[in-house]
Amino acid sequence: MEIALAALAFTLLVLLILSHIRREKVINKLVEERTVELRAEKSKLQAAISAITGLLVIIDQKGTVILSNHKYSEVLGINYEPSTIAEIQQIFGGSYDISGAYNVALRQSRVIDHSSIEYKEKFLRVLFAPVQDTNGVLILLGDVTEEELLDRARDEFFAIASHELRTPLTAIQGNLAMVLEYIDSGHVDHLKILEMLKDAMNSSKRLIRIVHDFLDLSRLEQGRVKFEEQKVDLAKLANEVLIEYEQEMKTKNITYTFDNKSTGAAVFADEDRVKQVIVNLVSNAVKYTQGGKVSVVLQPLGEMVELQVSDTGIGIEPENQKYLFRKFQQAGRNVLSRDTSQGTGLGLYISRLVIRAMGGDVYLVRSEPNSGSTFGFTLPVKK
Amino acid sequence: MSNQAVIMIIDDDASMVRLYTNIFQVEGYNVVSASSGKEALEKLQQLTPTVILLDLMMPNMSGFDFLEQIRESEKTKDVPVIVLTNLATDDTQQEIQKYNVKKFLIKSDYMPKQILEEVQSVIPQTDK
Repeated sequence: MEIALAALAFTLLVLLILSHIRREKVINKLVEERTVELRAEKSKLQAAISAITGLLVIIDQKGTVILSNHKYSEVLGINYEPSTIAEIQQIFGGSYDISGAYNVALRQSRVIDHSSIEYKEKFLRVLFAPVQDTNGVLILLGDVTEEELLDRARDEFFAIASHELRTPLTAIQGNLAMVLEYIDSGHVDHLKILEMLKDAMNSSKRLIRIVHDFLDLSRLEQGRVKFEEQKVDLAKLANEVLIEYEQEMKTKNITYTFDNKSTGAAVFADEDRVKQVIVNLVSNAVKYTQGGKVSVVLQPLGEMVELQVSDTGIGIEPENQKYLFRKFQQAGRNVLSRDTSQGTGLGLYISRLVIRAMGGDVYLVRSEPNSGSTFGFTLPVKK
Repeated sequence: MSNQAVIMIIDDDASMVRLYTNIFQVEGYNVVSASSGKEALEKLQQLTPTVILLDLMMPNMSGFDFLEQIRESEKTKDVPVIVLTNLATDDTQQEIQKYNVKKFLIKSDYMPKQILEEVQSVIPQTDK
């Protein structure tokens, strides 16, 4: 009997042990499965935050970085990984209080968005969002330099555009008001009145030209201009333009030459638009030359035909040459030093849009301050 | 009708110079004009105007550059300047304040009579 009891007890013990082992196995299996799942989730999360453009860091309430997508070098241009908010603050130095914003986001549990922070040569957008579960703050730093510069260019465009419209309007309104006042008060200085009316008239012409340029520019930029394809005689056009400017050149003591080295290959383009570009280059040459020479050369250039317009005028400083084809530029970087009496500063910009739309290009060939400039454009030859 | 005050007009746009010259000459003011900051600086060696009307957007030397120069010189550091421009950005308006500018006026917003009143308001009474 005792033996039987002992055997039973032993069997029970063995069963107990076996079941325990089985349970442990099940638990181990569960743990293993869960670990794999967690790992998968973590790598998914890591993949997700890596895919975010911009630097993402999560900082806990003690100021320690607990998660990041490591894009420090991409966004901040640094080759180490800061581990606390204090270290991140050091990167910005005194220029931006990132630590202060982190504290506000943490204490007040609210989202903070700083849309344009200057950092080195860049502009950053910095977003702070409190993370409830970890009791920390998520900070997202994005590079918005391109957007910021575009915004500024647009603001500048509007500032200059309204300046260009306001100036002739001021002259028209002011001169007419003065004329009315003169006549009203019995003041009869006819010469003065004539001068004022002439200024009002010339300013209204200037205004019309500016509005025309603006509309042309906007249509060209949007690709809404239809270009004719007709046989264009560049030599004939160049001669026409030079004759149109003959009088003005005479009064400015400028002589001109036209050298036709063309093989007579046919160019198919929009005649009016080609003429617009030649007018732009010749009028610039005349505008910036006082007593000197304007020379036009037509010549073959590979598969293209090139027309060059040279002058012996004021020339362009090397550092300003890269601004030539920009909107509203007259080869000067500073908006404030634009010469508004010399046109809208849209001529070369429009010429480039026009010529490129016809398969050619327009460019500065060479320029030297005080000795003159050469501009050229090409158009493809039809085979 | 004659006034002691000398008004200096600095503007690269000839039509603007003619307009403002007319406005003040009719009222008997002495007008000195310059088509650039450089020309104005030269004229300032010979005379001290009662007030300067200054354009901002000018080639070679902008209105800012001009102000910077005259504010450094003992002789011209206190001459009243009225900025008269069509460049109406907030930045410009804000930045110009550091040069002790009396007024910042947008040309197209002012009729000749109003310009006259604005300028007269900064001329010391004894000069009128």
